[in-house]
Amino acid sequence: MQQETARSETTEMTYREAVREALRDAMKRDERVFLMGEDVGRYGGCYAVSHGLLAEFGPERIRDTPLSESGFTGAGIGAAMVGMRPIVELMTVNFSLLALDQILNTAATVRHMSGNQFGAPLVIRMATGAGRQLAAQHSHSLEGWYAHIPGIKVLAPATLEDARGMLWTALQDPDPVIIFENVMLYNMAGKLAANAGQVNIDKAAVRRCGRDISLISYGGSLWKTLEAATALAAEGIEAEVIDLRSLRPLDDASIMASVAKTRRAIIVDEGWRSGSLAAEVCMRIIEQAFWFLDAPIGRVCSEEVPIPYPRHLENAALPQAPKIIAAAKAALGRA
Amino acid sequence: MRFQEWLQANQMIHQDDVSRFESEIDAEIAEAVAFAEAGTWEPVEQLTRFTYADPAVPTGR
Repeated sequence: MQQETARSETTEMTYREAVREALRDAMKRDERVFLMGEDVGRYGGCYAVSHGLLAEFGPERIRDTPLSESGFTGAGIGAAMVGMRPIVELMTVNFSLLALDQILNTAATVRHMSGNQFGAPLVIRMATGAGRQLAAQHSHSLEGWYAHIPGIKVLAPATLEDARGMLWTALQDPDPVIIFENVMLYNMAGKLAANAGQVNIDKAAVRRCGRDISLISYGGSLWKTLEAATALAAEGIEAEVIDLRSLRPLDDASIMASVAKTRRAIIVDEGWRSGSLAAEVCMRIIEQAFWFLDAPIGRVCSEEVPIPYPRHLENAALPQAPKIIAAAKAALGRA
Repeated sequence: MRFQEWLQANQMIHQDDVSRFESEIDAEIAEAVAFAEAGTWEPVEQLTRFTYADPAVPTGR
């Protein structure tokens, strides 16, 4: 009974605070863990995720770095290779391109190239996505590019539970793990179980059950997808909403189980349509569940433009609930 | 070669040292080549092995 009581205790917190709790927990549990990145210390993180951690853990473990993504990501990879468990924070996925050489040519390849003599068990966290009027150099969703790379794992926590729980699991992984935090989620508040902790990082989750169509999404788009599902329900369409959670590896079994049941699928992805993660999910459904389908698979992605600064254009460039609703209705012949 | 000549001209290294280095290096290379040529090709079945850690194989890190 006591356990039941503990389980029902919840704390109100934001997604930002859930990530911070995950960082704090990891630092306390494993002395090999340290955080480094631009402005993570004195400034408290460009999205205030690491606020207060410098005072709590000191400058040896909360390390401000120069503006040199390639340099400090490489240092993190090297530290991981010799036994530490670094968490490298990159401000945004756009800036991570400066570290792509280190991530792709070293972190993702070193185990295979060395015949298992070396691995790079680090976690790289970064913000992704648009919606805060930060324009084209701070707003893109390139997680699908990273999901293209063998040798790394790619996570997209969309809920408080996953923001709190994925980091520790990722730190236990012997290979590099990249965690994408959608910028629109940092202020999202909700209740989190007081004893929330480690979660799996290889399974998709059904966030809403339905029988008529599968809406497959992840990260920031999950909440727009759930909003669309609620609106569809008001019109008698019961959509099932799948949260991919892990973008590499993809949990094919969960995707196919849902599509085999609903026989229709829409993929919602904040990346650009061409060559998108949505295209990959679509093709896997074609390969594995084609004969279950009753309608062509649809996609709702970002428009193929650099994300604009003006709010009305930024909103127009991104997947939104009305677009998801329209795509779902089209798949059901209810347009 | 220019560096070697400069070292020798300045009495910082002797021909005996150079000869010893060269014979040791030649032997090491010959040993490595012999080892590689005596080996077998990696099985194609193991193409993707160690892209990620293999739970069945211990890894120090």
